[in-house]
Amino acid sequence: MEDMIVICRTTYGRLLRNRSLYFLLLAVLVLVAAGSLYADLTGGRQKELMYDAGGALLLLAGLLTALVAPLDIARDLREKTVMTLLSKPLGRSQYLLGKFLGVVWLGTLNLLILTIGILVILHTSTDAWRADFIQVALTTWATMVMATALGVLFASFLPEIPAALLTIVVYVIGQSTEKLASAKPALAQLLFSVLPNFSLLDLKTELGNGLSIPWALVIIAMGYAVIYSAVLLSLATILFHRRDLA
Amino acid sequence: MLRLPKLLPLQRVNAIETSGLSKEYTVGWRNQTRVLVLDNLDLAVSQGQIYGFLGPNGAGKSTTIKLLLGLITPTSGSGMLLGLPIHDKYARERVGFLPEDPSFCSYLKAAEFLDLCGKVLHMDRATRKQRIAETLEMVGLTAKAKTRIAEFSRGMLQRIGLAQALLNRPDLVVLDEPLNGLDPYGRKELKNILVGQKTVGKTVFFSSHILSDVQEMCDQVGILNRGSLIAHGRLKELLPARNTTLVVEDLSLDTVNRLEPLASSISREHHHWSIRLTQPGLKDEASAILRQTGVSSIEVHTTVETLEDFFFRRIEEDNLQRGANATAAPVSATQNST
Repeated sequence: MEDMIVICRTTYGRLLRNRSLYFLLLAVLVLVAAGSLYADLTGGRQKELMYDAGGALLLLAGLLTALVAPLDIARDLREKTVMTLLSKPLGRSQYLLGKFLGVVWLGTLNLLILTIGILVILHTSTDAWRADFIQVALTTWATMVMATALGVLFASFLPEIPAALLTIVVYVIGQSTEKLASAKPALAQLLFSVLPNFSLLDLKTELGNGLSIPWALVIIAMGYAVIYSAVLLSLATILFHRRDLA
Repeated sequence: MLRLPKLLPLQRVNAIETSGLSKEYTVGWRNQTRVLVLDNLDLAVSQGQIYGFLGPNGAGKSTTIKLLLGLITPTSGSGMLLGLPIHDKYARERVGFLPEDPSFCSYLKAAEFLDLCGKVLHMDRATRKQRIAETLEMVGLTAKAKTRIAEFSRGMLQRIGLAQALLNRPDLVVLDEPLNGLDPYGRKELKNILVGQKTVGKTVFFSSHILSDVQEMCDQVGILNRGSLIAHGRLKELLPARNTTLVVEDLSLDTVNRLEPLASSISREHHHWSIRLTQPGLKDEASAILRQTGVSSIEVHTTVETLEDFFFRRIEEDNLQRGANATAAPVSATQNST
């Protein structure tokens, strides 16, 4: 556990120095802060548009953070930092889980800052305050966790670019896995049961349409994300143990 | 405080021991070809030695080192470090390792990187602080403690790499091409550090292409060629004190045949024949044969064989031997048509 925390903190420290993430936060805040202009553009649907934009921006921030995981692990392999660290009494699982936690920690902080920022801007510019946005933020966090676990899984056996691309592809497919559930071929059924169901975590449509979101749905979605991520990480650990670090 | 590893009677075990250690890679997608990178390596390195691990590029040196450190998995065979299996975490607590051409965490400062290594080595804050200062001084990087690794030259990277390898005061230091990229001053300092490790009873195992340095420092060497260990032992035993070559003119075939059992090689250039004896002590016997066949003028050349001479001779002999065997039965790569 101690070793895992060391790797987690180091990963977080490294990612904090990554200016692109600051740029992302700044860009997102500028976009949301421009909310007062939406009134002129949307003909009175300013609030809905801001909910939509806020939710989409949270998701963008979460996914971009998740994509850092495969790139960061690949960088460690390229720089031979992995060899140096793993030649010391550090387990491969601890290394991999430490990396995962470091990225998730950063993603959590990013999402927290954005959520607070968006809620404040929503409140001041539209005089609206809906707890539904917090529910969307929580499921976006769960999406980020699951996408990060996916990135870690692919990075455990693939080079950086294929790992990052595959993370994106599986995320996109995962948005429509529910359609596969009703499909007839057995292969589609199998894919539904194996692929991550990211659409379960997407509550932005409900938010945009002003529908109330039951907390039970949020809890089920988050539980699903945590369990699915644990399975992905277990698989990643097994594959990384078998990998030759040449 | 360092977490104490399982205690073993250190003096009784070899620092490194391998038995039938092999590594095979599969190359290709459709027509998979298996390439044997390391073939049945049996190696024993006793403690308190400096061991030079030599071989041409692609001989399997780095593969061996990675196998020893558990970075890659052997196809077959086993290995022990300081009496513990190579995959044992406790063994790695007493080992320091410098990879070939490292770049490390370039965004960290030198002291920060060593602090990270110290944490992974389970050192407490006070020990880390003390060790980092001592080790940076040892490798001559005290002034660069707060410089980012990204700004380091190749030689400085080797030094910081050596510093992280020595941070836990390991019983065994494994270095992959540590002399690469160092200027003559850097090489001299590194050699001093490695010899210093030996004097305090540590074992140093390193690969290198710089044979003169290896000869200067090492007690034992091993030469790897195409995945096989073709020579291994103490330098004093591998390099005979002298090589004796007799140079004469115009030898008959009969004389050549009689000299063959005494010679490691007999070569001819124009009228001059060079007879290199297997042992210096055979000089009198060979001279007697030559005199019996009417040769009166015999020049005796005695030379000292350097590690470089020995290295090239053994590699060439092994390549010739393999060439001869290959014509009989090609085995180094097998194809699996799928």
